[in-house]
Amino acid sequence: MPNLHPAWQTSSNVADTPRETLEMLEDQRRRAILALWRTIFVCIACLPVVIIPALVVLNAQPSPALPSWLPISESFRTDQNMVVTTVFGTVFAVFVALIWYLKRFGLAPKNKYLWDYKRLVFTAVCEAHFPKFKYLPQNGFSWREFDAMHLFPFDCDEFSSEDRFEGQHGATDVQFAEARAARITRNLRNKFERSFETYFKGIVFVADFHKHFHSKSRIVPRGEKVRKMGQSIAELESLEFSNAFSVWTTDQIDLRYILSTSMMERLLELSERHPLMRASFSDEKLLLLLPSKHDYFEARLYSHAASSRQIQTFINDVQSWLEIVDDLNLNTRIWSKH
Amino acid sequence: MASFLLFPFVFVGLLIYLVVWFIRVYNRLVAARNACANARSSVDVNLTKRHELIPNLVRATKGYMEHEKETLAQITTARTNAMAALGSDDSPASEAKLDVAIGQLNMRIEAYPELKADGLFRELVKNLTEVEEQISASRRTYNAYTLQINNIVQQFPTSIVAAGTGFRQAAFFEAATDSRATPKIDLFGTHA
Repeated sequence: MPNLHPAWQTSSNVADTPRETLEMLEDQRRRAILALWRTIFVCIACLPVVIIPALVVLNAQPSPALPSWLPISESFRTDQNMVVTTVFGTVFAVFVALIWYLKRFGLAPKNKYLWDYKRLVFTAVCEAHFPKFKYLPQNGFSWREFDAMHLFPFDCDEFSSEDRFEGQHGATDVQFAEARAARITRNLRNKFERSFETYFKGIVFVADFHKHFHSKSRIVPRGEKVRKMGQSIAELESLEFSNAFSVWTTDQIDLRYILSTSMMERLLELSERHPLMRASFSDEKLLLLLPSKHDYFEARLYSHAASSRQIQTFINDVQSWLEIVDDLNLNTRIWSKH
Repeated sequence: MASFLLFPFVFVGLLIYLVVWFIRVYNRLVAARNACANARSSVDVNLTKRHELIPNLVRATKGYMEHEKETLAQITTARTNAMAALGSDDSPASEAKLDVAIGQLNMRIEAYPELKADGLFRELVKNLTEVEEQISASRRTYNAYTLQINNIVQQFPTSIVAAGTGFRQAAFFEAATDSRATPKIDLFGTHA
Protein backbone atom coordinates (compact mmCIF):
# COMPACT_ATOMS: atom_id res chain seq x y z
CA MET A 1 0.00 0.00 0.00
CA PRO A 2 1.47 3.37 -1.00
CA ASN A 3 2.01 6.07 1.58
CA LEU A 4 -1.31 7.88 1.36
CA HIS A 5 -2.35 11.44 1.83
CA PRO A 6 -4.28 12.39 5.03
CA ALA A 7 -7.17 13.34 2.71
CA TRP A 8 -8.03 9.63 2.36
CA GLN A 9 -9.62 9.62 5.77
CA THR A 10 -10.85 13.17 6.17
CA SER A 11 -12.58 14.22 3.00
CA SER A 12 -16.21 13.39 2.43
CA ASN A 13 -15.84 14.32 -1.25
CA VAL A 14 -13.20 11.65 -1.69
CA ALA A 15 -15.67 9.11 -0.33
CA ASP A 16 -17.69 9.51 -3.54
CA THR A 17 -15.04 7.51 -5.37
CA PRO A 18 -14.08 3.93 -4.39
CA ARG A 19 -10.84 3.87 -2.46
CA GLU A 20 -9.33 1.25 -4.79
CA THR A 21 -9.87 3.59 -7.71
CA LEU A 22 -8.13 6.44 -5.93
CA GLU A 23 -5.25 4.18 -4.96
CA MET A 24 -4.91 3.03 -8.52
CA LEU A 25 -5.01 6.66 -9.75
CA GLU A 26 -2.47 7.78 -7.18
CA ASP A 27 -0.15 5.01 -8.34
CA GLN A 28 -0.75 6.08 -11.94
CA ARG A 29 -0.08 9.72 -11.02
CA ARG A 30 3.27 8.90 -9.45
CA ARG A 31 4.28 6.85 -12.45
CA ALA A 32 3.20 9.68 -14.75
CA ILE A 33 5.32 12.22 -12.84
CA LEU A 34 8.27 9.86 -12.88
CA ALA A 35 7.87 9.23 -16.61
CA LEU A 36 7.61 12.95 -17.33
CA TRP A 37 10.74 13.87 -15.43
CA ARG A 38 12.64 10.88 -16.80
CA THR A 39 11.91 11.90 -20.37
CA ILE A 40 12.76 15.52 -19.66
CA PHE A 41 16.08 14.40 -18.15
CA VAL A 42 16.84 12.14 -21.14
CA CYS A 43 16.05 14.96 -23.55
CA ILE A 44 18.30 17.41 -21.69
CA ALA A 45 21.07 14.82 -21.52
CA CYS A 46 20.83 14.08 -25.24
CA LEU A 47 21.19 17.68 -26.31
CA PRO A 48 24.93 18.09 -25.52
CA VAL A 49 25.59 14.66 -27.05
CA VAL A 50 24.34 16.04 -30.37
CA ILE A 51 25.25 19.70 -30.13
CA ILE A 52 28.90 19.31 -28.99
CA PRO A 53 29.95 17.00 -31.90
CA ALA A 54 28.06 19.30 -34.29
CA LEU A 55 30.04 22.30 -33.03
CA VAL A 56 33.29 20.33 -33.24
CA VAL A 57 32.59 19.39 -36.86
CA LEU A 58 31.57 22.91 -37.84
CA ASN A 59 34.63 24.43 -36.14
CA ALA A 60 37.13 21.86 -37.44
CA GLN A 61 40.45 23.36 -38.72
CA PRO A 62 41.40 24.31 -41.33
CA SER A 63 37.81 23.92 -42.55
CA PRO A 64 34.65 22.07 -41.40
CA ALA A 65 34.79 18.37 -42.13
CA LEU A 66 32.97 15.26 -41.09
CA PRO A 67 34.91 12.77 -38.88
CA SER A 68 37.40 10.62 -40.76
CA TRP A 69 36.02 7.36 -39.29
CA LEU A 70 32.72 7.80 -41.15
CA PRO A 71 32.44 5.36 -44.12
CA ILE A 72 31.98 8.11 -46.72
CA SER A 73 34.00 9.37 -49.64
CA GLU A 74 36.72 11.99 -49.06
CA SER A 75 35.05 14.52 -51.37
CA PHE A 76 31.74 14.24 -49.45
CA ARG A 77 33.54 14.45 -46.09
CA THR A 78 35.18 17.78 -46.93
CA ASP A 79 32.50 19.36 -49.15
CA GLN A 80 31.40 22.46 -47.21
CA ASN A 81 27.78 22.35 -48.29
CA MET A 82 27.47 18.65 -47.56
CA VAL A 83 29.05 19.06 -44.13
CA VAL A 84 26.71 21.88 -43.09
CA THR A 85 23.64 20.08 -44.48
CA THR A 86 24.56 16.82 -42.78
CA VAL A 87 25.22 18.49 -39.40
CA PHE A 88 22.02 20.52 -39.38
CA GLY A 89 20.04 17.56 -40.75
CA THR A 90 21.30 15.33 -37.96
CA VAL A 91 20.58 17.94 -35.27
CA PHE A 92 17.09 18.47 -36.65
CA ALA A 93 16.39 14.72 -36.81
CA VAL A 94 17.53 14.30 -33.22
CA PHE A 95 15.30 17.20 -32.11
CA VAL A 96 12.29 15.65 -33.84
CA ALA A 97 13.07 12.28 -32.25
CA LEU A 98 13.37 13.89 -28.79
CA ILE A 99 10.06 15.72 -29.16
CA TRP A 100 8.38 12.46 -30.20
CA TYR A 101 10.01 10.70 -27.25
CA LEU A 102 8.85 13.43 -24.84
CA LYS A 103 5.30 13.25 -26.12
CA ARG A 104 5.10 9.49 -26.29
CA PHE A 105 6.78 8.61 -22.99
CA GLY A 106 6.51 11.84 -20.95
CA LEU A 107 3.28 13.62 -21.80
CA ALA A 108 1.10 10.65 -22.83
CA PRO A 109 1.11 9.05 -19.32
CA LYS A 110 0.33 12.49 -17.82
CA ASN A 111 -2.58 13.06 -20.19
CA LYS A 112 -3.86 9.56 -19.60
CA TYR A 113 -3.80 10.10 -15.84
CA LEU A 114 -5.67 13.43 -16.13
CA TRP A 115 -8.23 11.86 -18.46
CA ASP A 116 -8.69 8.79 -16.19
CA TYR A 117 -9.12 11.09 -13.21
CA LYS A 118 -11.94 12.97 -14.91
CA ARG A 119 -13.53 9.76 -16.13
CA LEU A 120 -13.38 7.95 -12.81
CA VAL A 121 -13.34 10.57 -10.04
CA PHE A 122 -15.10 13.66 -11.39
CA THR A 123 -17.87 11.54 -12.91
CA ALA A 124 -18.48 9.83 -9.55
CA VAL A 125 -18.31 13.15 -7.68
CA CYS A 126 -20.81 14.71 -10.09
CA GLU A 127 -23.15 11.75 -9.66
CA ALA A 128 -22.97 12.04 -5.87
CA HIS A 129 -23.28 15.83 -5.57
CA PHE A 130 -25.47 16.62 -8.56
CA PRO A 131 -27.64 13.53 -8.91
CA LYS A 132 -29.77 15.08 -11.63
CA PHE A 133 -26.69 15.78 -13.73
CA LYS A 134 -24.58 13.71 -16.04
CA TYR A 135 -20.94 14.61 -16.57
CA LEU A 136 -19.59 13.59 -19.97
CA PRO A 137 -15.93 14.63 -20.07
CA GLN A 138 -15.40 13.47 -23.65
CA ASN A 139 -18.52 15.20 -25.01
CA GLY A 140 -19.04 18.86 -25.67
CA PHE A 141 -21.17 21.38 -27.44
CA SER A 142 -21.84 20.94 -31.13
CA TRP A 143 -19.93 23.03 -33.65
CA ARG A 144 -23.03 23.30 -35.86
CA GLU A 145 -25.13 24.70 -32.99
CA PHE A 146 -22.35 27.12 -32.06
CA ASP A 147 -22.24 28.56 -35.57
CA ALA A 148 -26.04 28.54 -35.81
CA MET A 149 -26.26 31.09 -32.99
CA HIS A 150 -24.56 33.73 -35.17
CA LEU A 151 -23.23 35.55 -32.16
CA PHE A 152 -20.06 36.46 -34.05
CA PRO A 153 -19.76 38.09 -37.47
CA PHE A 154 -17.91 35.06 -38.90
CA ASP A 155 -18.13 31.28 -38.92
CA CYS A 156 -15.81 29.13 -36.92
CA ASP A 157 -12.84 27.43 -38.63
CA GLU A 158 -11.72 25.33 -35.71
CA PHE A 159 -13.91 24.28 -32.81
CA SER A 160 -13.30 22.09 -29.81
CA SER A 161 -15.50 21.39 -26.85
CA GLU A 162 -15.35 19.04 -23.86
CA ASP A 163 -16.59 18.54 -20.30
CA ARG A 164 -20.26 18.53 -21.01
CA PHE A 165 -22.78 18.57 -18.16
CA GLU A 166 -26.44 17.90 -18.78
CA GLY A 167 -29.35 17.53 -16.44
CA GLN A 168 -31.97 19.37 -14.53
CA HIS A 169 -31.53 22.15 -12.01
CA GLY A 170 -34.86 22.66 -10.28
CA ALA A 171 -37.44 22.81 -13.04
CA THR A 172 -34.94 23.84 -15.71
CA ASP A 173 -33.13 21.63 -18.19
CA VAL A 174 -29.52 22.75 -18.35
CA GLN A 175 -26.49 21.85 -20.43
CA PHE A 176 -23.09 23.43 -20.33
CA ALA A 177 -19.66 22.65 -21.66
CA GLU A 178 -16.26 24.16 -22.17
CA ALA A 179 -15.62 25.34 -25.70
CA ARG A 180 -13.01 27.06 -27.80
CA ALA A 181 -13.62 28.55 -31.22
CA ALA A 182 -10.97 29.85 -33.59
CA ARG A 183 -10.91 31.31 -37.06
CA ILE A 184 -8.28 31.54 -39.73
CA THR A 185 -6.91 35.01 -40.23
CA ARG A 186 -4.79 35.95 -43.22
CA ASN A 187 -1.88 38.33 -43.20
CA LEU A 188 -2.78 41.42 -45.23
CA ARG A 189 0.74 41.69 -46.65
CA ASN A 190 1.15 38.01 -47.42
CA LYS A 191 -2.15 36.34 -48.26
CA PHE A 192 -0.59 32.89 -48.04
CA GLU A 193 0.38 33.43 -44.41
CA ARG A 194 -2.44 32.18 -42.21
CA SER A 195 -2.85 31.89 -38.48
CA PHE A 196 -5.53 30.74 -36.08
CA GLU A 197 -7.13 33.35 -33.86
CA THR A 198 -9.11 32.10 -30.87
CA TYR A 199 -12.13 34.38 -30.64
CA PHE A 200 -14.02 32.50 -27.97
CA LYS A 201 -12.86 30.41 -25.04
CA GLY A 202 -15.08 29.71 -22.11
CA ILE A 203 -18.37 28.13 -21.20
CA VAL A 204 -21.35 27.54 -23.45
CA PHE A 205 -24.42 27.44 -21.22
CA VAL A 206 -27.81 26.33 -22.51
CA ALA A 207 -30.96 26.44 -20.38
CA ASP A 208 -34.58 25.86 -21.10
CA PHE A 209 -36.27 29.26 -20.92
CA HIS A 210 -39.25 29.55 -18.59
CA LYS A 211 -41.56 31.27 -21.08
CA HIS A 212 -42.92 30.16 -24.43
CA PHE A 213 -41.57 32.19 -27.30
CA HIS A 214 -41.27 31.76 -31.05
CA SER A 215 -38.77 34.42 -32.10
CA LYS A 216 -35.00 34.34 -32.44
CA SER A 217 -33.04 37.03 -30.65
CA ARG A 218 -29.40 37.78 -30.03
CA ILE A 219 -27.68 39.89 -27.41
CA VAL A 220 -24.10 40.97 -28.11
CA PRO A 221 -21.84 43.49 -26.39
CA ARG A 222 -22.50 47.02 -27.64
CA GLY A 223 -20.33 47.93 -30.59
CA GLU A 224 -19.57 44.35 -31.60
CA LYS A 225 -20.37 43.44 -35.18
CA VAL A 226 -22.87 40.71 -36.04
CA ARG A 227 -24.50 39.52 -39.23
CA LYS A 228 -28.07 40.77 -39.61
CA MET A 229 -29.61 37.36 -40.39
CA GLY A 230 -32.95 38.96 -41.20
CA GLN A 231 -33.19 40.44 -37.72
CA SER A 232 -33.76 44.04 -36.74
CA ILE A 233 -32.08 45.90 -33.92
CA ALA A 234 -34.21 46.60 -30.86
CA GLU A 235 -34.10 49.79 -28.84
CA LEU A 236 -35.02 48.83 -25.30
CA GLU A 237 -36.19 51.12 -22.51
CA SER A 238 -33.35 50.33 -20.15
CA LEU A 239 -30.56 52.78 -20.95
CA GLU A 240 -28.06 50.82 -18.92
CA PHE A 241 -28.89 47.64 -20.84
CA SER A 242 -28.80 49.44 -24.20
CA ASN A 243 -25.41 50.91 -23.33
CA ALA A 244 -24.07 47.46 -22.53
CA PHE A 245 -25.64 45.41 -25.33
CA SER A 246 -26.95 45.48 -28.87
CA VAL A 247 -30.08 43.38 -29.23
CA TRP A 248 -31.21 41.84 -32.52
CA THR A 249 -34.49 40.04 -33.00
CA THR A 250 -36.96 38.62 -35.49
CA ASP A 251 -39.93 39.82 -33.41
CA GLN A 252 -39.87 43.00 -31.37
CA ILE A 253 -42.94 42.13 -29.28
CA ASP A 254 -41.76 38.62 -28.48
CA LEU A 255 -38.34 40.01 -27.55
CA ARG A 256 -39.91 42.35 -25.01
CA TYR A 257 -41.89 39.44 -23.63
CA ILE A 258 -38.61 37.56 -23.12
CA LEU A 259 -36.66 40.58 -21.92
CA SER A 260 -38.82 41.89 -19.13
CA THR A 261 -37.32 44.73 -17.11
CA SER A 262 -36.20 42.33 -14.40
CA MET A 263 -34.64 39.94 -16.94
CA MET A 264 -32.62 42.82 -18.38
CA GLU A 265 -31.39 43.69 -14.90
CA ARG A 266 -30.42 40.08 -14.23
CA LEU A 267 -28.56 39.78 -17.51
CA LEU A 268 -26.73 43.00 -16.72
CA GLU A 269 -25.70 41.67 -13.32
CA LEU A 270 -24.51 38.45 -14.94
CA SER A 271 -22.50 40.40 -17.51
CA GLU A 272 -20.71 42.23 -14.70
CA ARG A 273 -19.36 38.86 -13.57
CA HIS A 274 -18.77 37.65 -17.13
CA PRO A 275 -17.68 40.60 -19.26
CA LEU A 276 -18.25 40.28 -23.01
CA MET A 277 -21.02 37.77 -22.40
CA ARG A 278 -23.28 37.02 -25.38
CA ALA A 279 -26.72 35.48 -25.37
CA SER A 280 -29.10 33.97 -27.83
CA PHE A 281 -32.77 33.11 -27.43
CA SER A 282 -34.16 30.55 -29.84
CA ASP A 283 -36.27 27.39 -29.77
CA GLU A 284 -37.49 28.34 -26.29
CA LYS A 285 -33.93 28.09 -25.00
CA LEU A 286 -31.50 30.58 -23.59
CA LEU A 287 -27.95 30.16 -24.75
CA LEU A 288 -25.09 32.01 -23.10
CA LEU A 289 -21.49 32.34 -24.18
CA LEU A 290 -19.46 33.17 -21.10
CA PRO A 291 -15.82 33.92 -21.95
CA SER A 292 -13.19 32.72 -19.52
CA LYS A 293 -9.47 32.12 -19.76
CA HIS A 294 -9.59 29.55 -16.99
CA ASP A 295 -9.53 25.86 -17.83
CA TYR A 296 -12.37 24.36 -15.79
CA PHE A 297 -12.97 20.78 -14.68
CA GLU A 298 -9.33 19.69 -14.95
CA ALA A 299 -7.38 17.54 -12.51
CA ARG A 300 -3.86 18.54 -11.48
CA LEU A 301 -0.88 16.27 -11.88
CA TYR A 302 0.85 17.63 -8.82
CA SER A 303 -2.14 17.23 -6.54
CA HIS A 304 -2.61 13.97 -4.70
CA ALA A 305 -5.27 11.79 -6.31
CA ALA A 306 -7.19 11.87 -3.05
CA SER A 307 -6.81 15.63 -2.60
CA SER A 308 -10.15 16.96 -1.47
CA ARG A 309 -9.11 20.42 -2.63
CA GLN A 310 -9.21 19.66 -6.33
CA ILE A 311 -12.47 17.75 -5.90
CA GLN A 312 -13.93 20.68 -3.99
CA THR A 313 -12.77 23.03 -6.76
CA PHE A 314 -14.60 20.83 -9.25
CA ILE A 315 -17.80 20.90 -7.14
CA ASN A 316 -17.55 24.67 -6.68
CA ASP A 317 -17.07 25.21 -10.40
CA VAL A 318 -20.12 23.13 -11.31
CA GLN A 319 -22.14 24.84 -8.59
CA SER A 320 -21.15 28.31 -9.75
CA TRP A 321 -22.30 27.59 -13.31
CA LEU A 322 -25.58 26.14 -12.09
CA GLU A 323 -26.20 29.28 -10.06
CA ILE A 324 -26.82 31.09 -13.33
CA VAL A 325 -30.23 29.38 -13.41
CA ASP A 326 -31.09 30.98 -10.06
CA ASP A 327 -29.47 34.29 -10.98
CA LEU A 328 -31.70 34.55 -14.03
CA ASN A 329 -34.69 33.24 -12.11
CA LEU A 330 -35.25 30.49 -14.68
CA ASN A 331 -36.80 28.16 -12.13
CA THR A 332 -39.74 30.47 -11.62
CA ARG A 333 -42.67 28.83 -13.36
CA ILE A 334 -45.49 31.31 -13.10
CA TRP A 335 -46.19 31.14 -16.81
CA SER A 336 -47.99 28.39 -18.70
CA LYS A 337 -44.71 26.62 -19.54
CA HIS A 338 -44.08 23.69 -17.20
CA MET B 1 -14.86 76.45 -67.87
CA ALA B 2 -14.25 73.05 -66.27
CA SER B 3 -16.01 74.03 -63.01
CA PHE B 4 -18.94 75.40 -65.02
CA LEU B 5 -19.31 72.00 -66.72
CA LEU B 6 -19.09 70.23 -63.39
CA PHE B 7 -21.98 72.18 -61.85
CA PRO B 8 -24.89 70.21 -63.45
CA PHE B 9 -23.31 66.92 -62.31
CA VAL B 10 -22.95 68.17 -58.74
CA PHE B 11 -26.50 69.48 -58.79
CA VAL B 12 -27.93 66.20 -60.14
CA GLY B 13 -25.83 64.19 -57.65
CA LEU B 14 -27.08 66.32 -54.77
CA LEU B 15 -30.65 65.97 -56.00
CA ILE B 16 -30.33 62.16 -56.20
CA TYR B 17 -28.84 62.11 -52.70
CA LEU B 18 -31.73 64.19 -51.34
CA VAL B 19 -34.34 62.01 -53.02
CA VAL B 20 -32.74 58.83 -51.65
CA TRP B 21 -32.51 60.40 -48.17
CA PHE B 22 -36.15 61.52 -48.36
CA ILE B 23 -37.28 58.01 -49.36
CA ARG B 24 -35.27 56.45 -46.54
CA VAL B 25 -36.70 58.75 -43.87
CA TYR B 26 -40.21 58.29 -45.24
CA ASN B 27 -39.81 54.50 -45.26
CA ARG B 28 -38.56 54.59 -41.68
CA LEU B 29 -41.64 56.54 -40.67
CA VAL B 30 -43.97 54.14 -42.50
CA ALA B 31 -42.21 51.11 -41.00
CA ALA B 32 -42.46 52.58 -37.50
CA ARG B 33 -46.13 53.43 -38.00
CA ASN B 34 -46.90 49.91 -39.22
CA ALA B 35 -44.98 48.42 -36.31
CA CYS B 36 -47.02 50.64 -33.98
CA ALA B 37 -50.24 49.39 -35.56
CA ASN B 38 -49.00 45.82 -35.24
CA ALA B 39 -48.14 46.31 -31.57
CA ARG B 40 -51.49 47.98 -30.97
CA SER B 41 -53.33 45.08 -32.57
CA SER B 42 -51.21 42.66 -30.50
CA VAL B 43 -52.36 44.52 -27.36
CA ASP B 44 -55.98 44.07 -28.45
CA VAL B 45 -55.48 40.39 -29.26
CA ASN B 46 -53.99 39.79 -25.83
CA LEU B 47 -56.68 41.84 -24.11
CA THR B 48 -59.25 39.60 -25.83
CA LYS B 49 -57.34 36.56 -24.59
CA ARG B 50 -57.48 38.01 -21.11
CA HIS B 51 -61.22 38.65 -21.38
CA GLU B 52 -61.72 35.04 -22.48
CA LEU B 53 -59.79 33.75 -19.49
CA ILE B 54 -61.80 35.68 -16.90
CA PRO B 55 -65.08 33.66 -17.08
CA ASN B 56 -63.05 30.48 -16.49
CA LEU B 57 -61.30 32.17 -13.57
CA VAL B 58 -64.64 33.22 -12.07
CA ARG B 59 -66.02 29.70 -12.59
CA ALA B 60 -62.98 28.11 -10.95
CA THR B 61 -63.18 30.39 -7.91
CA LYS B 62 -66.95 30.28 -7.47
CA GLY B 63 -66.94 26.89 -5.78
CA TYR B 64 -64.47 28.03 -3.13
CA MET B 65 -65.59 31.64 -2.67
CA GLU B 66 -69.27 31.34 -1.87
CA HIS B 67 -69.14 34.50 0.25
CA GLU B 68 -67.41 36.63 -2.38
CA LYS B 69 -70.24 36.82 -4.86
CA GLU B 70 -70.02 40.60 -4.96
CA THR B 71 -66.32 40.56 -5.92
CA LEU B 72 -66.95 38.00 -8.63
CA ALA B 73 -69.89 40.01 -9.96
CA GLN B 74 -67.66 43.11 -10.10
CA ILE B 75 -65.13 41.21 -12.19
CA THR B 76 -67.83 39.97 -14.56
CA THR B 77 -69.22 43.49 -15.02
CA ALA B 78 -65.76 44.99 -15.48
CA ARG B 79 -64.95 42.33 -18.07
CA THR B 80 -68.19 43.01 -20.00
CA ASN B 81 -67.41 46.73 -20.05
CA ALA B 82 -63.80 46.11 -21.10
CA MET B 83 -64.93 43.88 -23.95
CA ALA B 84 -67.38 46.51 -25.14
CA ALA B 85 -64.73 49.23 -25.00
CA LEU B 86 -62.03 47.19 -26.76
CA GLY B 87 -60.43 49.19 -29.57
CA SER B 88 -62.03 52.46 -28.49
CA ASP B 89 -60.57 55.37 -26.52
CA ASP B 90 -62.35 54.11 -23.39
CA SER B 91 -60.44 50.82 -23.51
CA PRO B 92 -57.56 51.81 -21.15
CA ALA B 93 -59.99 53.07 -18.50
CA SER B 94 -62.16 49.94 -18.76
CA GLU B 95 -59.08 47.71 -18.58
CA ALA B 96 -57.91 49.61 -15.52
CA LYS B 97 -61.24 48.92 -13.82
CA LEU B 98 -60.87 45.25 -14.70
CA ASP B 99 -57.35 45.33 -13.20
CA VAL B 100 -58.73 46.77 -10.00
CA ALA B 101 -61.47 44.10 -9.84
CA ILE B 102 -58.90 41.32 -10.36
CA GLY B 103 -56.71 42.96 -7.72
CA GLN B 104 -59.58 42.80 -5.23
CA LEU B 105 -60.07 39.14 -6.06
CA ASN B 106 -56.39 38.59 -5.38
CA MET B 107 -56.70 40.11 -1.91
CA ARG B 108 -59.69 37.87 -1.13
CA ILE B 109 -57.89 34.77 -2.41
CA GLU B 110 -55.40 35.02 0.46
CA ALA B 111 -58.18 33.75 2.74
CA TYR B 112 -58.78 30.61 0.62
CA PRO B 113 -55.68 28.41 0.70
CA GLU B 114 -57.57 25.47 -0.86
CA LEU B 115 -58.33 27.63 -3.88
CA LYS B 116 -54.67 28.62 -4.21
CA ALA B 117 -53.80 24.93 -4.27
CA ASP B 118 -56.40 24.06 -6.91
CA GLY B 119 -54.70 22.81 -10.08
CA LEU B 120 -57.15 24.36 -12.54
CA PHE B 121 -57.04 27.71 -10.77
CA ARG B 122 -53.24 27.71 -10.75
CA GLU B 123 -53.21 26.94 -14.45
CA LEU B 124 -55.61 29.80 -15.15
CA VAL B 125 -53.55 32.22 -13.12
CA LYS B 126 -50.43 31.17 -15.04
CA ASN B 127 -52.22 31.83 -18.31
CA LEU B 128 -53.42 35.18 -17.01
CA THR B 129 -49.89 36.13 -15.93
CA GLU B 130 -48.60 35.18 -19.35
CA VAL B 131 -51.24 37.20 -21.16
CA GLU B 132 -50.60 40.21 -18.93
CA GLU B 133 -46.88 40.06 -19.70
CA GLN B 134 -47.65 39.79 -23.40
CA ILE B 135 -49.86 42.87 -23.13
CA SER B 136 -47.04 44.66 -21.38
CA ALA B 137 -44.55 43.56 -24.08
CA SER B 138 -46.88 44.81 -26.82
CA ARG B 139 -47.30 48.14 -25.02
CA ARG B 140 -43.56 48.51 -24.65
CA THR B 141 -43.08 47.76 -28.35
CA TYR B 142 -45.78 50.28 -29.26
CA ASN B 143 -44.07 52.92 -27.15
CA ALA B 144 -40.63 52.11 -28.60
CA TYR B 145 -41.92 52.74 -32.14
CA THR B 146 -43.89 55.78 -31.02
CA LEU B 147 -40.65 57.21 -29.65
CA GLN B 148 -38.99 56.50 -32.99
CA ILE B 149 -41.77 58.31 -34.90
CA ASN B 150 -41.70 61.24 -32.49
CA ASN B 151 -37.92 61.57 -32.79
CA ILE B 152 -38.14 61.71 -36.57
CA VAL B 153 -41.06 64.14 -36.45
CA GLN B 154 -39.33 66.50 -34.02
CA GLN B 155 -35.67 66.30 -35.07
CA PHE B 156 -34.23 68.44 -37.84
CA PRO B 157 -33.92 67.81 -40.80
CA THR B 158 -36.12 64.69 -40.70
CA SER B 159 -38.98 66.87 -39.42
CA ILE B 160 -39.18 68.35 -42.97
CA VAL B 161 -39.98 64.91 -44.41
CA ALA B 162 -42.49 64.20 -41.63
CA ALA B 163 -44.23 67.53 -42.13
CA GLY B 164 -44.30 67.08 -45.91
CA THR B 165 -45.83 63.63 -45.70
CA GLY B 166 -48.38 64.37 -43.00
CA PHE B 167 -46.74 62.48 -40.13
CA ARG B 168 -47.47 63.89 -36.69
CA GLN B 169 -46.38 63.13 -33.17
CA ALA B 170 -47.98 59.98 -31.83
CA ALA B 171 -49.28 59.47 -28.30
CA PHE B 172 -47.63 56.95 -26.03
CA PHE B 173 -49.67 54.01 -24.86
CA GLU B 174 -50.21 54.53 -21.17
CA ALA B 175 -52.32 52.41 -18.89
CA ALA B 176 -55.06 54.47 -17.23
CA THR B 177 -53.80 53.39 -13.82
CA ASP B 178 -50.33 52.62 -12.70
CA SER B 179 -50.13 48.88 -13.25
CA ARG B 180 -47.51 48.63 -10.55
CA ALA B 181 -50.05 49.87 -8.06
CA THR B 182 -52.62 47.33 -9.18
CA PRO B 183 -52.34 44.15 -7.18
CA LYS B 184 -51.85 41.12 -9.45
CA ILE B 185 -52.72 37.54 -8.61
CA ASP B 186 -49.46 36.24 -7.22
CA LEU B 187 -49.83 32.62 -6.27
CA PHE B 188 -46.16 31.91 -6.27
CA GLY B 189 -44.87 34.74 -4.18
CA THR B 190 -42.63 36.04 -6.92
CA HIS B 191 -42.55 38.32 -9.93
CA ALA B 192 -40.38 37.76 -12.96
